[in-house]
Amino acid sequence: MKRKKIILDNIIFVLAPIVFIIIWQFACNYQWVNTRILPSPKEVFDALRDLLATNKFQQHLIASVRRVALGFAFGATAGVLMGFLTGISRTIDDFVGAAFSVLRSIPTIGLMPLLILFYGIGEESKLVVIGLGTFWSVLLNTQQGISSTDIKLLEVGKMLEKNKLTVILKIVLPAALPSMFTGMRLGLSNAWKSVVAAEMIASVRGIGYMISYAREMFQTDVMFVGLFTLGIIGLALDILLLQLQKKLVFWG
Amino acid sequence: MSEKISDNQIEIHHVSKQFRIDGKKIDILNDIDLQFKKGEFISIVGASGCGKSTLLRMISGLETVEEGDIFVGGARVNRPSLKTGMVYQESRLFPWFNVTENIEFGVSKNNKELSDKKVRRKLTAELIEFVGLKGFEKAFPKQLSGGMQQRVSIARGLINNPEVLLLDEPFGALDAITKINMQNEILRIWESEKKTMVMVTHDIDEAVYLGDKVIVLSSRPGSVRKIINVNLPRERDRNSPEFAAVRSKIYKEFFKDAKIKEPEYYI
Ligand SMILES: Nc1ncnc2c1ncn2[C@@H]1O[C@H](COP(=O)(O)OP(=O)(O)OP(=O)(O)O)[C@@H](O)[C@H]1O
Ligand SMILES: [Mg+2]
Repeated sequence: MKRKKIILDNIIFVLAPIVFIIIWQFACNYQWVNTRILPSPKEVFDALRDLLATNKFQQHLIASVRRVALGFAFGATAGVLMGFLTGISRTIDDFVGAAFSVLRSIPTIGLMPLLILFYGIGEESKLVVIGLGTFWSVLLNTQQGISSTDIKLLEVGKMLEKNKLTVILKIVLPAALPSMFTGMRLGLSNAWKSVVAAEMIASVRGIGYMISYAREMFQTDVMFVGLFTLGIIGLALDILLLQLQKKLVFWG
Repeated sequence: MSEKISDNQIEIHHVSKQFRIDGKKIDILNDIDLQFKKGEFISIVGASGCGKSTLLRMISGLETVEEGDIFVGGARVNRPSLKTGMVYQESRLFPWFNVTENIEFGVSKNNKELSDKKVRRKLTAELIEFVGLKGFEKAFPKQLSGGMQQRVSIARGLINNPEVLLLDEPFGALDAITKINMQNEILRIWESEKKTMVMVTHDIDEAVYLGDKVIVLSSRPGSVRKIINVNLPRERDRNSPEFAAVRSKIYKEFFKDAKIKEPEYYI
């Protein structure tokens, strides 16, 4: 019974999108929808093929992925470091706490105009936006993970006369790891969202740019290629992090 | 005032303890005065919340001693030290360390003898065998049963070769059969290692089975109500009349102030 159900679930999981695409194709063929606004799946695939053939798709994708990778790396590293500094030192926490609370509330994309003024429309402004999107969620979740460390285990560390560094590396860090991963997954998702927004505002390359340029050219099929790419890459990145988490947090 | 006072392994001199709870000072322990000899097995029983864990934590140096003095091996206790090992009810193992790593983590930084990695490895392997976990060196806590986890925890408590092993309800969470096995196990360890052991327990049967002395604490604030010597040869027979006599003596002390009446069955 149970196995049957699992197999059925899997079939539905794979079949549902296919059915959806078929219906979508029919809807376009029979003009149930306005095909000037909604391209058919075939048109989307054709657009993708053309974009791939001219290497444009690859260039846009690489540009976006590169930005996300860099911004995420900076943001996550800073978030973890700052999370530990504030989690460990009361003084540092007091020092930056209030400022962080205010800054955190500013939607990062809202900083874009200011950043363009500071840095121009080069890579820096986009990296800062992506980095910040990652930074806040990694920071918050790292802090939360650190404060959730079992005090009973900390007491064992005290009983065994462990020094502060050992306590941080061997007790607090592993205890905070699951939370840190939650932060990173949220952060990566934020990063991916902010790169698109940033590219729409100021860029000449990237999936976000591709989408907004396609809008100007009224190429709805290209827009759909862009949107699907965003969805699929976003999902793939999340799965990647989840697998990494399962490997690293093996005791969970 | 931290000079050697006598050859008692543990001396507790007129120790009282208060905790501030919700702004109010609450007496937890009241004038505890006890001496434990080297190599003795001491059981401590008392109602929940009477301060048993607090007393152990004070002996271990985890909790400050403000009123009175505690000496372990002749030196006043004011912080955790190599001389005392501790085993808790929840085994308190690190889920991210395997058995070997958990035990090795018990090595104190002040333990000069075990600063060499090879020596440490060897002792750890010996301890694993000693507590009956050979073959589980690389297992993680979640892959072990409750009894096995407690064995790891005991091994960790022993690795610095402490003079005193403090046990806070170490078998409280185990099922009856495992518990009896572990009681025999701890007796075996005690007999072969000749350590002073102080065990807090809720289980009067366990207290009598293991202890040379059973300390009965009164309810809060905890004070020493009675010290009962268990002069029974080991291995003790839980079903013997002598055993039953000691047990019932403790029961009586235990429930003196609890005002527990015989259940009334008439309608
Ligand atoms: N750090 C602390 N701060 C404030 N109060 C505390 C602290 N530790 C213990 N207490 C209080 O001291 C009392 C005794 O606690 P303790 O844990 O020593 O009891 P216990 O005898 O071990 O009980 P049990 O048998 O349930 O384990 C409790 O009322 C508890 O609330
Ligand atoms: Mg207790």
